[in-house]
Amino acid sequence: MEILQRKWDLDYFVAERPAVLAQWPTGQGVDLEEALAYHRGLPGGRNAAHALAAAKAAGRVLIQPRAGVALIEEQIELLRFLQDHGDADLLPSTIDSYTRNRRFAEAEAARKESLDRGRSMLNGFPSVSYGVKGCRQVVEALERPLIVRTATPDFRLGAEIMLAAGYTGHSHGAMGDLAYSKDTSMEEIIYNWQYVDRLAGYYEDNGCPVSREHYIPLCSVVPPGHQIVVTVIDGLLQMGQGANHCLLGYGQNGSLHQDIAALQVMREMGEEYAARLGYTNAVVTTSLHQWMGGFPEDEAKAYSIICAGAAVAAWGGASMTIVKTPDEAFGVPTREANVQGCVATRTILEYAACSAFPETEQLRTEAEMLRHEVRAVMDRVLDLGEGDLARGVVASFKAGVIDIPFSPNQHNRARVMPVRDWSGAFRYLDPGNIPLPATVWEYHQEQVARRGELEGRKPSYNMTIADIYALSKGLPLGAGARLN
Amino acid sequence: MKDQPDLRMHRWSDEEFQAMRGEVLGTWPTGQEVHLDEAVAYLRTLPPHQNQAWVLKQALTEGRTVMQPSNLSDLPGKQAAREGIAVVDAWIKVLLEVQNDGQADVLPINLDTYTREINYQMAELDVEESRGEGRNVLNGFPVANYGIQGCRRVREAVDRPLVVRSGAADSRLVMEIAWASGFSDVPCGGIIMPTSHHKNVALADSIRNWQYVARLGAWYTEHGWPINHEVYGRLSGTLIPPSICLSYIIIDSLIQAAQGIKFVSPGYTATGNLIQDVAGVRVLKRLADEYMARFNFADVTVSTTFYQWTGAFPYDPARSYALICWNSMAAVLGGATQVIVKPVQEATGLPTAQANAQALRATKAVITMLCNQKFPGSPELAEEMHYIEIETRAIVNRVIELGDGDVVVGVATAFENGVLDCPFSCWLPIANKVMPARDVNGAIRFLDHGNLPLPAEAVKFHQNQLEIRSRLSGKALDCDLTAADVFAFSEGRLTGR
Repeated sequence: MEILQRKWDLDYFVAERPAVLAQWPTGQGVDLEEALAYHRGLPGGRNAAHALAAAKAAGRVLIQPRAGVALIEEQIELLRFLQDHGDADLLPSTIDSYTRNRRFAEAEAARKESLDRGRSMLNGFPSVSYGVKGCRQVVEALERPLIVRTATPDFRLGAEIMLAAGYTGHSHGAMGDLAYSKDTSMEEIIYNWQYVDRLAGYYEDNGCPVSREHYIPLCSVVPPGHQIVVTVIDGLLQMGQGANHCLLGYGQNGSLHQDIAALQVMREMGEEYAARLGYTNAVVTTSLHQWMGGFPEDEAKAYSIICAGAAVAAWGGASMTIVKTPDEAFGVPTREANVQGCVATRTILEYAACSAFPETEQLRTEAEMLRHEVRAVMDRVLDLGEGDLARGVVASFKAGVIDIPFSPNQHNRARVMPVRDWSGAFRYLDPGNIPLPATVWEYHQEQVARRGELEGRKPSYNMTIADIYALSKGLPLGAGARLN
Repeated sequence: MKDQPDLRMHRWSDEEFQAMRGEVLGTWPTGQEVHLDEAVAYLRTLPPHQNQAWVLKQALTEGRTVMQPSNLSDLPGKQAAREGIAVVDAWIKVLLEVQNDGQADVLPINLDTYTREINYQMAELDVEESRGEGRNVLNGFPVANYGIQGCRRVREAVDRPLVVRSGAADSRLVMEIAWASGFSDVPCGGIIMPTSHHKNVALADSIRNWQYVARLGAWYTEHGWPINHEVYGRLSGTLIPPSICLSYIIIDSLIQAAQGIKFVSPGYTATGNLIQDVAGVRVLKRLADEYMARFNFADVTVSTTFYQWTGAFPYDPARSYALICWNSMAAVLGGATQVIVKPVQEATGLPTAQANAQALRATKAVITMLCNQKFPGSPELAEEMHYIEIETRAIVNRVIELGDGDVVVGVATAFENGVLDCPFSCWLPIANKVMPARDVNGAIRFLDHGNLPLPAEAVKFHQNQLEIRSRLSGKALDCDLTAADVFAFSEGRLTGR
């Protein structure tokens, strides 16, 4: 099948829906007209897209934790706790693995078992099992916008159900999924997410915008330039389907300058390419995902990472930050730990809002390098698609122009090798076929060579291996943190 | 007291110093155990990394930031009572915990209240009572009562430099015993201590007592055991405008340096506004070096110390961690040589050793994260540095003028006419005319600068900054703003609402 960027005709979209909704009985509970009426009736402040646009205009950073459990009552109690004690601005429902993988029967069985045992036997919220009615109970019990959090090659049915229930934000897109699927083809992934985007576009066309959020889960090993490219592409793919509210996520890597520059450039590039492709109604916001690598078991050190992340979110002009918790190293955090992450983050956001990070030479250089890189790669992607972004993306993966290090997806070339430089900033040890401009490539090599001098060894994949091991212990910065 | 050295900024002669020493060592029996020759021989056996002057100099050279917990207070005493062990042993246990679990680079001991008040008799009763009944009645370490023997037990049990956290107007005997036992640092300051901690102490006495400590420190420094003097800028700990902090610590650094000490580490107190704090530490280093050179003390090594927030702390540990991490970022980005770390449970009273260790580890993680990153210049930073600098210069220079070039002579008049002043000081003789408030960005400004000789340009700047806040909040410029600000930081924001 050929995948193109253009917006699906309404008739085509409508014709696709029955098969999607037939995947599980609760699909029959979705009534788009009823859903639109429900969205329109939501009180002010309950729409994530509006909340993010307002935060962008006011220069504020919203807070969103992660949370998902098997039982509705527990999900509500958990989210209410985060809302009331953590003052979370956006409330998540993270989906369980069975539902993500469309193993709905198993999700349903585990849901029942959870009910019998009185505790969650799933690692998330099985929204498809609950259907519109169940999911809406969650929406009605809370006072903040609700966000779907998932990552999978196909969440079409889940999106139908949850948006109809009154969720107004939905994470993930095609590019991000390369971290979660082994053999799904690029075409199929893009097609499935175009469906979700088209659905969001339908809500938006009818006056009920949905915030579509993107980021790459592998962000703790992907150099920021490439993170920006793939995330902006996900944003452009959604805009192609008429979903204009686009939230681009960036993963903190701990290098202050690079993190701040990347957040700034991500928004800039999102807006620049939206304009170039003619999406004049696009509303581009950015978010900062606090460190996605391993967390230290020591809560004191965990707090310091959370606090640094919060400061970067404020200084980089993000409109949202996804918070980590001081218990992160021990698995799914308790609700108390989740609240602590929110409170520490809020406190730093208040402090950091008072002191802008200076616009400096180092920051300017970093931002300039990122712009060069992103434009070079984006332009090549568009060239390869002969002007069509979706076609270009498929071709770019084949050519390795887009190449996500350590992705398990077999259609990804996997020729790129990242490495941290002397200061902890991410560079390319080997850019593979990514068309880096010469100035950018030289800059990266210089910075990595400087690490080599400090560590007394030649830059090689041994450094990358050291970086990867260091990932599990917290932010691998500082002298000796990345030696082994 | 007869034959006191003149109250001026001169290095005391050996005769003046020795005359006073005789008196000091006679105030309590353990004073008789101090023999300078024996002490020097003992100190020669200690490795250099147990010396604070050495550690700070290394850190300064390498551009690193070292950590010292702020206050272990009566924690060891409580532990002693709980476990039925001697107070000295409890101190050793707590210090080892902070050293090993907290990765502290420097270890403090705090004096108990009786020792700070030179009431060794009462302290002795309490030492005995603690021993006999397994319950602690001392809220610190009674250095004079334990004498050299007790202090050296602590010295030999731990592997970091030891600091005596005094806060007293007279710690002369304590420092005699501490230096002879291998301690190597004390937060000090003749004009600072009354302002910070005392209601009625006479300025002349406090200055003389700390001149004595500096003179003693100089002697040890000259005999191979360098003593660092951390000039203590915490003051009242509440909304101190940076230029007041800097004026105090530069003046006391000069007074101490005149006795011949070679290592000084003026302590800056965090305001919480990142730009102001980075600016404060940078101006401090520059001006301290400059004034040292102006008074021919150019061979004095000036490192900088950064106090994490000394005002009210939040109860919520998450907020507390955030505050500690935030201050640590300012300390590292400002280039401070030493950061004084607050425990996570600061607000709830007596911190445990673990609460200290947690705060130290969080601080350490921030130091590690930022060690290769610099906070470069910017117009906002340059502006902040400019005002802190011209204000500090104006105050310090006026004090020098008032004393005709002698700072010690100058300070007496300066306090009388409010050229030196500090908000919220408990010291009765202080003019107490200054009122601070935060601007919209949380920087501390002068709502009323009293009689501080600030340049007109600076007064106008502060006024403008506060007027912006007044305009945006619709509230009048009065001390209600200040009152709101006093509690704001502990509630998770800088500027009060």
